[in-house]
Amino acid sequence: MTGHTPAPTDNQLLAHLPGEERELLRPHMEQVRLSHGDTIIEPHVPIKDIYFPLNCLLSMVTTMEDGSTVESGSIGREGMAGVPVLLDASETTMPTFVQIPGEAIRIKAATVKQMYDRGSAFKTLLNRYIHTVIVVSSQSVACNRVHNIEARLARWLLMSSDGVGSDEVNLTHEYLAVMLGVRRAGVSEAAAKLQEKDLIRYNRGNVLILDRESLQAYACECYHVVREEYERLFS
Amino acid sequence: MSTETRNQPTIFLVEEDDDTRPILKRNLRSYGYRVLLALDEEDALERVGDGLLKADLLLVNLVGRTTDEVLQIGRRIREHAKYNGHTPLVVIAEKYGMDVEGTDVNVSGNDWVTYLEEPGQLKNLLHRLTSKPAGE
Repeated sequence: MTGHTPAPTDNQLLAHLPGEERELLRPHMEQVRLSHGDTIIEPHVPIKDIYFPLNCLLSMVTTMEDGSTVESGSIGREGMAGVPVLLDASETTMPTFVQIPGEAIRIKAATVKQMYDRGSAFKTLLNRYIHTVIVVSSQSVACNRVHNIEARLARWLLMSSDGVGSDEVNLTHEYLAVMLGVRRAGVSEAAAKLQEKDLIRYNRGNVLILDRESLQAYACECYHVVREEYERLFS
Repeated sequence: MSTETRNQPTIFLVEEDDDTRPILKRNLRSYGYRVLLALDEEDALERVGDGLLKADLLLVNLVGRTTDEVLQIGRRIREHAKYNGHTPLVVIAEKYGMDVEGTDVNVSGNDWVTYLEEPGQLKNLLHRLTSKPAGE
């Protein structure tokens, strides 16, 4: 996406909105630049803004009592941050922060909720998105239980790449460990395996996907299950 | 034991994480090492108790302790195993910042702490340490 200026339609949800509904939302859209580490949703605090990533990657992380952390999910241009608002929950238990910096569309939560409650295409779209969130969560539970680190790393790298719309993503080594819920040695050795097969090039936190097709073949089935469901609902 | 196996350097891996152990073991074997495994300190001490378990390098990955604590554990295992005092000990660090990522620190003698980041970093370090002539 070199040279491309991010636009609201880079977000897949906003792109799938019928034009007239997108125009209703447009006056309320604010395009913002998010930096690595920014916390955009705090736990146990009413959510004030909804974010639709354009080329950034947001991360939800669960921190356990012993301090260990596991990524619960990531949100890229395929989705939005702030689902609890739609479900009348207003707040959540997990923080959402910016993992890969970039641009997003920010809209006041009250505005999004109002438009959602009106029904029509916007509600249908977001309901389908909520369904995909549930699918991703369910699939991830199974994935973490049965699939090996290398296949899971391939899956997450592909998802992150899809999320930002680029074959090159900046993911710190520490974040990869959190994302996969594994030790750092596991990350290094899994990345070594993928690099040895010329699927990726990993250097100082920068991951470049060299062979997407082969990486998809190497990834666990969970990547394909989620992708196919998303395509079924949003094609 | 085949001739090939006999000639391969041996790494004694102490890895308590069930997810990490398989990939470390697989990769170490693909790097050309014979791998002996222990699940934790207690298991390791039990395995080396009779002094018959020989290894060319001790690789330890334990969490929930400071790096110094893990180094002490590794040294205890090495002593208990009656390994040559030059047998390298490599501790894989877990919690560290980007300032040390990608570095291998020789803390004393043949004791090392590796702050993994790059693919290939562990492989290169192990090769360096197991390629040295005995006593160096």
